[in-house]
Amino acid sequence: MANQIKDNGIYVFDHDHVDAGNVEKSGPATTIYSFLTSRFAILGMILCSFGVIILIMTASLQFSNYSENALSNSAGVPMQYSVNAPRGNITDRNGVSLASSEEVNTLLIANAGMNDTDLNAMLLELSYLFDQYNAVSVTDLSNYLTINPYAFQKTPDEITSWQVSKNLFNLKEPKTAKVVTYSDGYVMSDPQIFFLYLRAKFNIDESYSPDEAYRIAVIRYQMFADSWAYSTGTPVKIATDVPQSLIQLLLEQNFKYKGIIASKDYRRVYSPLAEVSSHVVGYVGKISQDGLTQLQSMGYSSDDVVGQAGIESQMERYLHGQSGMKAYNIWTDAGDKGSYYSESIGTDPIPGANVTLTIDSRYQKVLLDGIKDYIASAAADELVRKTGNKTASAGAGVMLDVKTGDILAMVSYPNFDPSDFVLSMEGDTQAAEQVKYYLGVGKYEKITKDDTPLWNRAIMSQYAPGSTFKMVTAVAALETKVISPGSNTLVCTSPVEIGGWKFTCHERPVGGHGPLTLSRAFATSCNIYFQKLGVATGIDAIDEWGKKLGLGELSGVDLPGEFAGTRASRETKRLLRVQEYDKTWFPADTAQSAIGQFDNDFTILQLARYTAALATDNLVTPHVIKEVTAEDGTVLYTGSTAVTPVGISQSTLAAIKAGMEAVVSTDEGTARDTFLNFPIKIACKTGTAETGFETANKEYSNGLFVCYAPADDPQVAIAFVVEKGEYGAQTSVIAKKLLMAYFGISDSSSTGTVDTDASIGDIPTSVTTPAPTPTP
Amino acid sequence: MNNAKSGIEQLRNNYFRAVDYWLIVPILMLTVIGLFVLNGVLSSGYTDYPQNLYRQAGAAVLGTVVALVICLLETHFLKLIGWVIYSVSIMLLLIMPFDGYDMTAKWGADLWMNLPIIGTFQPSELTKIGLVLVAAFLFEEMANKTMTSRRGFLYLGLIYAVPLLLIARKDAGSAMVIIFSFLFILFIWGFKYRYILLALSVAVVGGLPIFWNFLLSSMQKQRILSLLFQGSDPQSEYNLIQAKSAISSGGLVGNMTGSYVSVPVKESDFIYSAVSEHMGFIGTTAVIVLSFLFLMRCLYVASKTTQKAYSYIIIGLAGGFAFHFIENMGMNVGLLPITGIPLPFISLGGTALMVNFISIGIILNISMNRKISRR
Repeated sequence: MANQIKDNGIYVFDHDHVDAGNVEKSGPATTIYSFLTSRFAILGMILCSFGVIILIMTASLQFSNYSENALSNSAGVPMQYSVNAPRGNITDRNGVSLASSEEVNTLLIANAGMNDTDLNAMLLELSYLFDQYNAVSVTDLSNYLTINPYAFQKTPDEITSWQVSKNLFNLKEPKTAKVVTYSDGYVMSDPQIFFLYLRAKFNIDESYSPDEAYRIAVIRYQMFADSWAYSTGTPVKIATDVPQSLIQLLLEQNFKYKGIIASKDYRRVYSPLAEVSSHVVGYVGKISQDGLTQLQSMGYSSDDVVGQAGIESQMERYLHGQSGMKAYNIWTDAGDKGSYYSESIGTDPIPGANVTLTIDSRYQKVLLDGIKDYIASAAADELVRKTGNKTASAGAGVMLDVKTGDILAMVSYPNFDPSDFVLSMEGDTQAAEQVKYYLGVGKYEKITKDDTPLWNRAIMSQYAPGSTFKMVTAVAALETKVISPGSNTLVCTSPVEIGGWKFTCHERPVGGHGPLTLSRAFATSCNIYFQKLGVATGIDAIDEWGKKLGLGELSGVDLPGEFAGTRASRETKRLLRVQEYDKTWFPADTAQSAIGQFDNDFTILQLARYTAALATDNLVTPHVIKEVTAEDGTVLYTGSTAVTPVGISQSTLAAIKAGMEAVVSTDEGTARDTFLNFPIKIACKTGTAETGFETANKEYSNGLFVCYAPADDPQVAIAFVVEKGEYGAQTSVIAKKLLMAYFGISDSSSTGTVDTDASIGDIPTSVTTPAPTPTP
Repeated sequence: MNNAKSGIEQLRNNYFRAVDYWLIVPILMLTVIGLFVLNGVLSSGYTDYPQNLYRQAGAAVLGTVVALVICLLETHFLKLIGWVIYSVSIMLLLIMPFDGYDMTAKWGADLWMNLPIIGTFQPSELTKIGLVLVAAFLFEEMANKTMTSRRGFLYLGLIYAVPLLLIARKDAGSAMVIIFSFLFILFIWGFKYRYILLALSVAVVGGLPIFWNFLLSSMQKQRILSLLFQGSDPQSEYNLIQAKSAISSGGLVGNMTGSYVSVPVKESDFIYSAVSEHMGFIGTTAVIVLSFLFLMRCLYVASKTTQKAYSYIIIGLAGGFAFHFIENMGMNVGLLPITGIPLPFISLGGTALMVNFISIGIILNISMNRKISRR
């Protein structure tokens, strides 16, 4: 029993760590030494040094004027709310409005400390006022539950997940089937019982009739859905589209309607023309969870509306503006004892910047209508109906300013109506259904992504260029001196073996065209000529010039989601084929590539850009944004008009131009009939590209067309495709309409008709069926 | 044994003379300051005011009583109590994913439980105490050479591994409290300086990247980054800017204008800024002096406690408090990274306050009985 009670003040507990000998000796020096080397003392000193540092740092903050800025931003106003900024406008190049912001009055409710009885009584009065003035509730309970008769408005599964949602009711799912009453915290499948539950949850007095109780519940539900914000003093939005007269009334009687704040919000409004340019303009929607995590640091909140596609998405940071923080004044239950906050406290919202597009709505409409009309007439075609083949259904087109790269028109059909997204956010069921179709959700799930109207075919779909590629083969041949502008005759015989593979000329299957010059080859779009030329030039040169002309390369357009496409080459074949024996390049592959088939797949924008490059020898940076200007007119951003010289010699360009002109000007030209007597000289090329589904799905080939005009002083380049719109020659009528609009030509001056005679079209050779392995 | 017992009986007879006022008085003063500040914070814009303040005050009174009752326990029960607290808290941690109250959406991260009557409660609070009690006795055995160091550290590793793994996932703050209180005991136990140096260099070289890449969620990373590179991320830095301006607005005696800077989580993580706002330099100095007075007293008592295990218990518990005090105040002034660590006895949170008073009770108990040794 050795109790070591030390009463004399000599602490020997530290003997483990301090040399015991030191402790035995007495004297101030040793005492201090043993104290200082004690681990307790060391620990104490370390801790205290932290204390001293914190004390000093605190004091230096308290006795300096730290961050006046942060103070003035939110100083002293515990009651504040964020005010949204109007979203910037989008206009076309002529200042025609495509998207704008409309101011709407909103009502918010802040916690005024009322008890449930008073609150419910006030909300009931408000509810009648809302009806009287046609104000719209924000989060509508009626989407889930209605009374008279009692019914849920969603599927049982959706209702269950709504009820178990942790942020809302947080009810439990019963493990076994049992009779549920409104008060035992389980999911209620009976709407009437659930309504009783709501009445109990919101403390709605029993003296209220079901109808009155429902009115109260509708508003209480909105506050409840945002209860976190509400409970921390942030006002919750309960109504939009509130007429000024009602605002006036509520403000005058603010002592009665406690906690009610009148605010403003902005709604996106799309003009009817925005539907024509839907893929360029894009649309807005509620911010996604991913988007929020990305943008939160820039001041976005979870109920923000952000751009989801097109320019709305691309220029989101410019268009959105910056929300402001404002103080609010309400009557609380405590009466008027609080302080009054001036309207000037806080920050004002900064309106979003305005975007001016290079798009011209007039051409946009002509191009879209052209594609639409063509598709309609193709469907009505007698021959088509007889064969039962799948015919034209979609298309895309681009018109470029060849000098600046301004995209004057960019169309993808089918298009969509951006207003549907706005309306569906506001609870329009018809628009919501439409949006479901656009997004391919619900029962539209089977529609593949690139079949939805949201898909911008002009930059996202990759089409085999078919004969519109032949200029690349010609440029490569001329630049590598395989042929020259003066000597370029090749003989078209049919059938003929090229690269170890047998091809037939589709126009003259027996015998062929005979000797053809480059111009005539362009005019007739003879495949044999360009296949022979391609094999003589070699795939490497064709690939090189394709690349220089921007094919299979991202154009850098200022729209989200551009695809690069692929260019047929040895490298591409190696990458695309799975089987080792498939990866070898054969001369027959060159023959196919030379006429724009095989692995060649480009976007329409690339084709337009490449046509423009053939006109000017400059590769432009295509863009749809002309400039972005702030509210005060400062230019924040300008579209890039930079060009890259391609490096094609003048003689080659002239030879190509002559060939492309021959397509219109000679009797054999595939687009001759369309542009007969057309006052402007144009250089163009038609194309009919095989998709590989012709036999299997009984589909027509894609009809393509590229051109620039006027041929002698190029201003614009056009490229478009009509899917299953065989033939390119026939689709050329769309280009004609567009050029007439651009040059202001009235209809009477040209008498071009659409020639449906297939013999004129440039039908490709049928080589998609697997052929015996050619000898390399 | 007889002597020991009679000693405790003696103490019971002179209960109020035996209570260590150097410990309890600073704590009670901190609690009063806390209630005063919370009254200011909660009265401006919190919905369930004043009920939440009443709850806090009730917890403080109850906690004081609990602490004084714990003083009456036989000190050697602490070993048993330690194991009970340890195992119960681990069980609670284990069942938590199934019956946890999901506050993540609102508060970022925490391990809360929703219990009837008591309300929300963090089992990790109990784990901190349980671990200290359990570890202290193992350290004692190692110090007395009744257990080899190898075996001792193996046991310690096992004891610490489970709760740390369970807690560190979501609540890095609590995990750090546990680690720091362990390190405090380790240091006092006599971990050789050259090993400390070695461990520090290993930790800096090897531990930091692992810690950074695997143990921190992106939110925690952002908080730490915002401290290292001030100005880098406005969202994460916002809290700090607001806290600093709140501190700044306090001046000498507090912000008398009645209009306060809005600081997120002002009632808990950023309560220190509210202390400055409502009481100014005088208040913050009082909080610092009182808390360090308490910590130094703990060290003093620990150094005078004859049985090593009890000494380690005090060091462990005080280490936890020290970490809380320093980290909370340090992050408010921008000295340390922002983590979700409240200021003990001041931040809002009834159950946390209760648990803290249990710790105080244990320290008080040991302090009263420090001159008695059990063999």
